[in-house]
Amino acid sequence: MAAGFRNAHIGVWVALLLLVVFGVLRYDNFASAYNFSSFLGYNSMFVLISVGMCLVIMTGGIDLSVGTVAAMASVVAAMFSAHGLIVALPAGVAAGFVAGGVNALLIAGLRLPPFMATLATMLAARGTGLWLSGNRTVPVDWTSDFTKLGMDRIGSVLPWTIVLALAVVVVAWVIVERTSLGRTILAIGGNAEAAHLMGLQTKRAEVFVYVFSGGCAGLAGVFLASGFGAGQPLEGAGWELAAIAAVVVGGTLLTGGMGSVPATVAGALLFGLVFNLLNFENGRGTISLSAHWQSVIRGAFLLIVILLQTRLSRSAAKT
Amino acid sequence: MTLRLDSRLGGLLLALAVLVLLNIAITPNFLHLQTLAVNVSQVATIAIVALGMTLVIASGGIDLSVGAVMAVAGALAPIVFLSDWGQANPGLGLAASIVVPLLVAALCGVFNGTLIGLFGVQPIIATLILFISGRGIAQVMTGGNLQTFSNPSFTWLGTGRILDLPVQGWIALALTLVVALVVRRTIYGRYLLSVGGNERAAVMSGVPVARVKIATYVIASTLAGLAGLIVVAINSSSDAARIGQLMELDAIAAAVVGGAALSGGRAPIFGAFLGAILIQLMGYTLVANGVSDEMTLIVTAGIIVVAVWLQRGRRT
Repeated sequence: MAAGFRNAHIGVWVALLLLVVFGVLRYDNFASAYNFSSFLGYNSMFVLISVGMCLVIMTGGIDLSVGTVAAMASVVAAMFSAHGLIVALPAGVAAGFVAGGVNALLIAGLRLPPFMATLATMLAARGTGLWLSGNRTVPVDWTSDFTKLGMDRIGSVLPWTIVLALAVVVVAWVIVERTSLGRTILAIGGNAEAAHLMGLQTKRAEVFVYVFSGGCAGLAGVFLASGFGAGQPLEGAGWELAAIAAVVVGGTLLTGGMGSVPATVAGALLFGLVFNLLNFENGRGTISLSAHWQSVIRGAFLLIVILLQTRLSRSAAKT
Repeated sequence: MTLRLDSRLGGLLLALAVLVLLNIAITPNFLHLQTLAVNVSQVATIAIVALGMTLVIASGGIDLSVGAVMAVAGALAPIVFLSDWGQANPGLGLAASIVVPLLVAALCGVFNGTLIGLFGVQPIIATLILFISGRGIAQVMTGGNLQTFSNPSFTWLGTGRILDLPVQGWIALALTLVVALVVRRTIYGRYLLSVGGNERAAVMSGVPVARVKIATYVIASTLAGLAGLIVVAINSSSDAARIGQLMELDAIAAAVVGGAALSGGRAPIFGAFLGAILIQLMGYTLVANGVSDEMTLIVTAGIIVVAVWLQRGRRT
């Protein structure tokens, strides 16, 4: 059965590769430095929140608050942007940690169901973001180095944000694959009670995943403020669902207990790529799909992935 | 039917009573018919959707697609009665503009229910599909344009008054009674609670689990479709990008504050109705007394946490 899920993980990489090849062959500017750079720059935010979500889902939980926490963190980062990146980045991430800490307290401490606890934090973070910003977008200080993070490119191609995001991915990957914390995370998702009885520190692992996810959302908020030049209290609507979709597309089951960090990254990129390809298709002028079609096609794409996974896991269960 | 007032329902009524008394004391003009009408008109759609959400939660599921289904139904209604055929046959057009969107909404429920009941896809993921694409479908249907119209017979659904109170309030009340009866008095209701309570046991004892689940999502989607029609009727216009936005959260919050447990097996219909009213009245109290919208969000979050925490001790 493990082989079945490994296949699912390979599947998402193959799909990603095929779509990239398709894009390169079909569209002139798809392989351009500009497209590469803007695609990775924008999607670094989604890679981050998807990885945080992946660890949460591995424990059998869910984090609905990531979108509004990112929005709140973007406001915090923008407020501190005059002091430069060295202050604004930790401030935004700290805002995310605080929100993640509240989730951890409600879920690991008060034992509330993750869905409801993070739904409450989702509303509270939106409220807090609006309150901090005075219900407006918060302009960043352009004279400081704050916007360099989101706008500068290494060698004018590689965005700093994707490098940072991938660093976080590596940390998460190592934790899951190589540490006792990672084994505990997976054990909780497999069978929380058994994990607890085995003497694993389940509470510590639960606290960790929600705080980690909050921190990822906070960093995504910093990227948002830095890349778009403003703290945006109303951004992030639906991000949590995009992240969940990326995790599912990456082959991680919502029941927890298994999953793959790299495949989640591939899932996030795959989801973003569907958008990117659609833009190019429109650019060719042969067909003209309005922006509304993008969400329809994303939904259809998710449907296909889910149906494939259902078949895969069923045939895996049979053998 | 004996209306058992369990302690949770009692607690909700108590909280409501305290809020009403508080408002009488501090909110200017609270005891005006207009105040009541405004609140009823705002809460009705949430209550209607929360009824269906309560059934879905009772089955052990969740429905994230209700807001998107509202948008689909709401976008479809004006398309039907503004079409050439609808204008030529105003009577039939009006009927069709209610029936067709409700049927399409029901189809959305069939889609959700089939994925969940037959394919075994997790509810949060299955309903995520329509959550993502449903609003897009509605926007494609309208070309993304705001549809405005003047159709007094249709808008009666959202602006009419019966005994000086908004029509949709009466609709919500009637539906609450009907759904509560269905849960308590029909085989479907008993099946529903057994599926949510212990699915394996339900399968073993011959409950048609897949059919029960499909029926549940169809009911939830149809109720959402009706709520979509009411929103469009209130506004005399239909904006697919906005109808029912965040409704899934409001409905889940109302159902849970009303006593639904996400683990399934309980369907507190009156609780959901009161839960919707409680959240509405709390919001109104804050706004009417000059507390800002963002604080209202934070307070709502607090109510949800308290409600879920109180419920936690009741799990047996």
